[in-house]
Amino acid sequence: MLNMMSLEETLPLLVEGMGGIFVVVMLLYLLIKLLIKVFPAKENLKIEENKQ
Amino acid sequence: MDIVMQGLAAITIKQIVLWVIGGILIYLAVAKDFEPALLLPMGFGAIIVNIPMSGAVTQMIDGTAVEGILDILFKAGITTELFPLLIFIGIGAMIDFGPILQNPFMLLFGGAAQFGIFFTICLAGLLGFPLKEAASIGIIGAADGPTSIYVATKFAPNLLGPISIAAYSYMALVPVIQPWAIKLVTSKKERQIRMTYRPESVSQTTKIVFPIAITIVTGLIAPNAVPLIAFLMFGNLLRECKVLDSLSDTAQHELVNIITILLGITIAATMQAEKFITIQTGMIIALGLVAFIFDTVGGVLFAKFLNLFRTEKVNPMIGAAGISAFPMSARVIQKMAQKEDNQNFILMFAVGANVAGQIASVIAGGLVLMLVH
Repeated sequence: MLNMMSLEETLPLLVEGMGGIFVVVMLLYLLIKLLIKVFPAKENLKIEENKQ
Repeated sequence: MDIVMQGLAAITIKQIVLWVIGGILIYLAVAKDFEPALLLPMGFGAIIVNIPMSGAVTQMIDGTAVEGILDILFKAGITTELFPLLIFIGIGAMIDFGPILQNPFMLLFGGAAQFGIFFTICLAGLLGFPLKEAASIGIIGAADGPTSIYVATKFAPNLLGPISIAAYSYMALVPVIQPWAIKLVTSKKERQIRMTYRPESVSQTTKIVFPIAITIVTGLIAPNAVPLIAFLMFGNLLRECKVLDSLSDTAQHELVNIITILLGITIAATMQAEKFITIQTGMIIALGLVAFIFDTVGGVLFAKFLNLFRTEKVNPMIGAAGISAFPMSARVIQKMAQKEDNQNFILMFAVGANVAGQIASVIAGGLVLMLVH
């Protein structure tokens, strides 16, 4: 016997859960793009130079 | 003589079944190399907790509870969430986020491939599991053992045994489950799609700032997920800062090894015959498989959906690599791509999606903790 009433709780969880994941993932995407702009790859050279 | 025979006389059929299950877990670990680090201690633990009147677990002797070592370890390491969290430090130290920083678009597939978690929660609810237990079962689809254990410890510690077995067994079975599920929802032509790899250059500073920034961003959205994400990213910071190589090394090897030994044998404390051999256990194992299949299908269908709008098509198999089982899933996808077209190299995309899956599974765990009351 299927408990159809459970869908009242679990379906919103599915929508909010997947929605939440995509919101976080999009924010992380933007964060990575920002980090790459702020700290471009040539930074590596500066770190190397400082070490020397 | 009676005292000597007491144990033998107290054996039940269910306990013998658990010995066989323990033996099968040890066989899978040793002979088939299925997640041996966890399945072997669990298999051995399953045997010792099912020896009648075993002193390894709490027993009532003359009306007094005498605590067994496995129950003491369970309270100290699992109930407090210590073991799974400490393992996260080691996992974080092992992960190279380079592929995802070079190609952040792959993050989307990590998100999509968590679909199996929420689909399975719905299914478990329909089958009559209360919401918290359904959530713990669904999280098997995170394809990430410590996340599954962490969530199950919070919501349904009584189900920890079958959930851990399902999580680790299906991770080992990714090379069997994924090709079948992918073929179910893709055509040969789609599996032959080639992709051009154009990675962004990433500075060391970005690699150092990333774990700190991601902890803050994720923590602000899902505060419940802070222990999960923070321990993972702390491990990664040890790795990327390049001034704590010995600590990073310890986290990757000694710490993970010690905790894995303790975690496996401690989880076995929940595998006592009377509690373990139930229809519920069978349903959990079956639902775990559903979670893995729908993770794969969710990822692939999402990639196909994106292809409707993109001029440069994505090989939809990349979507399946968005689960957390690293690096097995990426390898499976590359192998499948080369089987269809021996000049097709999509490994770097698959690795990117796979690393994204590791991040997304932890986020999913945090969101489940936040959304389920």
